[in-house]
Amino acid sequence: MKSNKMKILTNGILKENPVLVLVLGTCPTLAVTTGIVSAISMGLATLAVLVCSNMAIAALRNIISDKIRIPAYIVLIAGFVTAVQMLLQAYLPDIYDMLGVYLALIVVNCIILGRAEMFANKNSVTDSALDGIGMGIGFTLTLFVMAFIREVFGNASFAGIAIPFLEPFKLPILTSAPGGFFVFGILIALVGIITNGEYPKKKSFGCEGCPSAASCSKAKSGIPCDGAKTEESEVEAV
Amino acid sequence: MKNDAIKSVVVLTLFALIVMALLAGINTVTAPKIEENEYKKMMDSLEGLIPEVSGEDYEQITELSGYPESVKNVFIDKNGRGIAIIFAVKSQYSSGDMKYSVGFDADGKIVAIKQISYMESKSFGNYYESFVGLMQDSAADVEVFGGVTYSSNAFKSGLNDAFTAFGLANSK
Repeated sequence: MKSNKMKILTNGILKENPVLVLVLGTCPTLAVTTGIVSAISMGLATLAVLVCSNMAIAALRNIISDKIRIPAYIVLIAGFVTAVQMLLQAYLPDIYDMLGVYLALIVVNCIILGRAEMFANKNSVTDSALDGIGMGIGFTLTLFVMAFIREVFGNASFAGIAIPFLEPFKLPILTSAPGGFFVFGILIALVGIITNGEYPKKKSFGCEGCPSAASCSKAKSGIPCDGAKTEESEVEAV
Repeated sequence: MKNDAIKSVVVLTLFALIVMALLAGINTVTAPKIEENEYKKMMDSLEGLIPEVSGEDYEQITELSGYPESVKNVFIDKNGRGIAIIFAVKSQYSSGDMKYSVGFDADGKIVAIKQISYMESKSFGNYYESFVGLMQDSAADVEVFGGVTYSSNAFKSGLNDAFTAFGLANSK
């Protein structure tokens, strides 16, 4: 039981890292990782929203019917994001200015809606909170690692503090969009090597893992939909 | 079927109302602090905006009827060395205000521009600094910043309003 909780908590850090394995939340990942401070701030803001929304959705999962689950989730998530925005604007205005428009965009961050669909609406409040913490830490760590590489080697600085001896060797392309994609690709490959490419399991992204599985007749009957056609299913169909 | 629809509407409405009430509560706590931060940022931006003019040298014009809508605050140097204008504009797809303070010398030439807030996804860097030293006619000829056309146009429109505000304040 205890190990199961620990597994839920640690899954998001590497095995099911939301950015490098599930490839969710790519837009803010590329946008805010030009600086270490903005990356960590975004990670922590997302973590707070993720934990709160996961817990709220898990607690209300029996009240929210399948038909209205997406608008209900969006209302809840948008509420938490707006609360975080207001608190940051009031008490950490520098961070609020630094994150700019990306703070509001947490509402449409795929990690949050993805975890609501994949985990929170099927599990208890405690497990959902642990999942939110794990995924949030995984997201924050990924942003930190990406920002570290991009800022230190692209801008010869660490959290805004100049590193003079790296100045002649810096690669400014790392701070621009192509450099971001390059670092992102390298990290995905590294995680693939570390996990032997075992994750994510097919089941997670087959019909069972599809956000529409609950209301999809094909998913219930076990017949893969067009988007997940496999050789096996073609054989079965014949 | 009909009951399901009614239940869905009721649940969603309740969700929206509860979230709205919670946000209203948080807003009550944070709004004064946000306002205080905004005011402090605005006053900080006035420091050094016009050479040799400090915060205490300014007199604020409180009655802004007749001024362009984007002009939020007007400060006149009591010794006649210049006028500072604060303007806020939104571009077509913006998620918040672009707010700037502009310092004019007594002749109406821009001596400095400071960015107070900018909420766009794509920065136009120090584009606004290319307007320093210009009068109204020449400022209109500065080209927009490539790739950030909407923000550039919004900024230029706000700056034009600041020139109008300078004319109004200077004539009083």
